[in-house]
Amino acid sequence: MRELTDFRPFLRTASTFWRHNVLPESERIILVEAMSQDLRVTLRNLTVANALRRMEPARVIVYSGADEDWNQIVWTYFNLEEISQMATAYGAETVFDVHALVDARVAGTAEPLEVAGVDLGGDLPDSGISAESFEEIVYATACRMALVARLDDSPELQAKKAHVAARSAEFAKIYDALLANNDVVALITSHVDYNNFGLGVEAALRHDVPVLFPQSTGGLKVYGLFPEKLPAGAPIRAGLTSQLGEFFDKHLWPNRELLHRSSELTQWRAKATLGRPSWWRAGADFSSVELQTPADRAAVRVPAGRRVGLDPSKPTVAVFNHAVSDALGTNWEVFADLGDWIEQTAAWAAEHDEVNWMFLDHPHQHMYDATGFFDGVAARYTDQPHMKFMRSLDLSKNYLTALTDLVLTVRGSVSSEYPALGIPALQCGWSEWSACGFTTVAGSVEEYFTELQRHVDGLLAGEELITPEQVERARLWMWFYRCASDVPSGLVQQWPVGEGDELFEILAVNMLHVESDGEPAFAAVHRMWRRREAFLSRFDWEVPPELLAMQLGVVAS
Amino acid sequence: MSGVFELPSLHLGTSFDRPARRHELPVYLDQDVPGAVALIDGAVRAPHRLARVVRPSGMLGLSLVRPAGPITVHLDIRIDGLSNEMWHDNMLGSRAKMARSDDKDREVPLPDVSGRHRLLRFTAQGRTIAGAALGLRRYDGEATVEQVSFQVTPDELGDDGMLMIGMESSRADEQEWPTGAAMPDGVVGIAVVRAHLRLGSEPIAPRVAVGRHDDQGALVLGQSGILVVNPGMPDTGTEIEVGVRGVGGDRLRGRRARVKHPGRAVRELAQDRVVDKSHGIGIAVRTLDGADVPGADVDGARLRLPAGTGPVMVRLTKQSPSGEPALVDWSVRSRALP
Repeated sequence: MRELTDFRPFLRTASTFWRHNVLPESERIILVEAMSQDLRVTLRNLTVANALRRMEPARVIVYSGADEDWNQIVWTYFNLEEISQMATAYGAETVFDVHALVDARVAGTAEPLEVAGVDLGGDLPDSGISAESFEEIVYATACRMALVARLDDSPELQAKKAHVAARSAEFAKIYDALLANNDVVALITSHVDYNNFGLGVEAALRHDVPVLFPQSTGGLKVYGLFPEKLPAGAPIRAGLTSQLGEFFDKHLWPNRELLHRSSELTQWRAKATLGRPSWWRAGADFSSVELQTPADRAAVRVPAGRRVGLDPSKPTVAVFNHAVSDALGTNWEVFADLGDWIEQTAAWAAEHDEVNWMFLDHPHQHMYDATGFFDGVAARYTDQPHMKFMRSLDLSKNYLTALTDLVLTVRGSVSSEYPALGIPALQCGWSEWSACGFTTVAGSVEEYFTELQRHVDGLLAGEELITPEQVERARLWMWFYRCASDVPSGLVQQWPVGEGDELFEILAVNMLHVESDGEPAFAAVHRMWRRREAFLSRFDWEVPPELLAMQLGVVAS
Repeated sequence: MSGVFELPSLHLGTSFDRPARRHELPVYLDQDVPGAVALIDGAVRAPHRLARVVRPSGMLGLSLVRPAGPITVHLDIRIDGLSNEMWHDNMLGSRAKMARSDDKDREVPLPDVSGRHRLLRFTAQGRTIAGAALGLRRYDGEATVEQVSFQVTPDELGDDGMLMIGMESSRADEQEWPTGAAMPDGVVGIAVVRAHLRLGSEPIAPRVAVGRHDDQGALVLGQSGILVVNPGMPDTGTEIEVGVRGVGGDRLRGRRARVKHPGRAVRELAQDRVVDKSHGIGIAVRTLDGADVPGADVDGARLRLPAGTGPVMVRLTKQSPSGEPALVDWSVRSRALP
């Protein structure tokens, strides 16, 4: 919980700053989501919106709020008043509580509420969303809200789904109404999943409105979903995967010599938990990889094997379970759901005791599953000594690295971390990096098990399942993710600065004492927007290598 | 290292790594020795100690020039005020935070058990080599220190000469003797002050590892009555003999008691005299995993362990002549059996 004492002075400073740093308003609008309790998230969304307003004159319409489900499972200190004050200081014309509006519409008690020229409290036409897309979003949201891997026919879960569906229908109407009745420049949102966020994204893309998607990490990291660049009928994140893969092959790989030192440094820092830390594993003492050589790994593998109860002389397959209700269906996946993947993988593992199997539950599973799903899977295999089930946080990163010879995941970040250490990864779903060529990506369930068999056979035969080139690619991705696509900005600050007084003091200093032209956030958003690029970048990649080197400030004589 | 699966594609290093410094024996390793610890896990290289454990298990990797023969290792372990502070902050804090995450409206009161003993297990190359039952109570002074000694063969070290020392918590005493059992995750906050490594298999004497020793042997407090016996050489057995030291409680002991008010030592001596020292002594013994100890022989106030046995945990109990449990402190002497 944060306590702010310097917030009001900051708001006054911000209000003045933005008044002088954007174009005058026009009839067009920018829709900005502000549904996170963390002010750093809203700060990023509003900053990107205002960076856009330096090129695109527009009014800012902010939708905010939280419902009882989110308050129960995620939020602890959601404060609509603070968010509204901040949005107003950043020039928002309107801030409205979309959750409260949805609840009122469901209850039939909505009162007139004009937002951007639309009475959102009155009759609204049905959304144009396809039935299939609507059902997918409702299903994923219901799973998340119920904290289950999948919905069954139990009355309780069906009631939850019906409740989510009713609310989703109203969300969809509201977003559609705003997009259909306005000339919308862009929608800025911190998330693209679930009904409250995802239906807005779906409506925007359907109305040919770009979606900018700031990430809740690092400095300023933003993905861009430009409708004309997204494959029709694909999940929301699929186009991003393809574009990142194309960018990787067009710009990163050809510049690998120039970037080699940088990517090695990033990898060295990543091992020490410096820079952007592992998403789910904080704590350098527990999440650093100190192993430098195969001999180091061998020395740690013995006690690690004894700790876990697995034979260190056999290859070990590490299966990293996902947060089972997290963002279902937002990218291509070959199994019915995340739970189906781990269940089928465990069943396959039971028949393959020629290798060890470590099933590792997600560090934050308690926030995504209330059913003990993982424990339930584990209970089926207590008679299989070659299969061990535990929380991934039960083992340090050194121990995990010492034991793991093959990583299995649907889309987890482990499939970028371990290949960078020369440990192969098999994915059965797409992720941001899955088209960058350093993992094996299965396209079907059948292909997944074929590849799994090939990998197990390869381990037993002593084959190299990941090439030195793939290791280099993984390290380049690491550099790209942590450096190139992370814009350091005085107007947002790095995530670890927090969301307390310190943040707002630093922001105020930047607004008061630093001239704004050339501010990295402005320049990067400008490039991304004009070029319709899939991500915000610290660098201009459309320049010759010598100029790229100059931008990098490379260490070279 | 033989018997370990090797992944041919492994690429752990980066061009920014600094190779581990390999130490020639004999060597004293502490915080002032550059590169003293090559690998660390669940612990930190501490500014004033060789390392301090910050997680429920810790590991130190010491890189050695491969020795020609067995080596003898002495580790100096310390519990001080910071140990209790770190344990309290890290463990209680993180547990309370986790509990609040599950049910945000519910504050979970967690008891302060930092006054209880910590039951520790030390491993070398994954093999249990020693244990200790340590604590730092209110009147223990600034720190409790203990030395753990063991031997390692060149075969165990392997060609790369990496000695992996593990430090873990045990709560096996909770299964066996729930009353007054060890604090959970007791290894958190433990400091490794220094490591002394020498060539040769110098004799190691059996040792009662409780962190308090004076001329009457090891001192075991009555609150838990728990002690750990570390074996000597593999081919010798161990005998311990326990004696009632005085009434239990939080009074000062050892040299510190003598330098305080002169009347205090006399008073405590008088208290000792009123304690029946021969009746109702109970000795129970288990492995650090809580299992039976084959061949353990209890005879009145004596416990004999066969060669190759240990470390073991022992619980001492005392009954008054009327049969009521009596809270007494203990002195314990240990010796190698021929």
